[in-house]
Amino acid sequence: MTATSSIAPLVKTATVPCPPERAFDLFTQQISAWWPLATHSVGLSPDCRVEMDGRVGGHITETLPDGATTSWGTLTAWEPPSRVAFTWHPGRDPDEATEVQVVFKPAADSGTVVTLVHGGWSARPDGAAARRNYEAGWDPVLTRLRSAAGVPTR
Amino acid sequence: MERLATAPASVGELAELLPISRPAVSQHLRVLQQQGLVSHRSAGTRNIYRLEADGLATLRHWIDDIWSTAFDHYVEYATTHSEETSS
Repeated sequence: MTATSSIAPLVKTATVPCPPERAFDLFTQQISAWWPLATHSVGLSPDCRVEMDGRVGGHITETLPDGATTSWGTLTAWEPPSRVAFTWHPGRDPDEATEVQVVFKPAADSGTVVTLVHGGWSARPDGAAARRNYEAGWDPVLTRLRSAAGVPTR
Repeated sequence: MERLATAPASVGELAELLPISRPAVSQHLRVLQQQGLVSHRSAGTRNIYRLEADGLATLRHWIDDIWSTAFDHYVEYATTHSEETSS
């Protein structure tokens, strides 16, 4: 759908001063240490935790302060230390997921270039309904964008 | 936000539809309001929220900002923890 495919992927890249093995481990196994949980989570609390089950088919799981859990997405690629990819649907159903891929490439001085691409909005399966709603107003756009954002708003 | 796209709603009305508590709904709405995506007016003791009509461009920036913020956090963390052994 043009409404979705016109949303370009977000690409972020940076160089970190550690080798790919370490950069990969920090990204995938220590998410709770760096993810801004107080502002970017279902529970909206620094007491939330998030963990990535490091295997294809494994989940990224947020544990809320009350012990409830919610899946943010499912791993579609697990290739340490060079690549991890996952579906992304915090606060949404899995069939409304977008896609995130993170690539780790060795750089000079034992560093790593980390590139994150968040896309896949056009993969949404609800084309006809979305289009109908789109013509009606905000609804589907906001739904898609919210899903894409990864910050639950409901 | 899907609900608000239909019509303005109070915090209580939104909370009834959602699997999170009323205070949590209020907290989400405050975040959305700070980002310019919703606005509210007081009606007696109730706060009525509605979507901001010109919030779409804001929303797109906001989405970019989420992963951008998270990614920046990661880069900062990786920079300060580059020497530690893996747990």
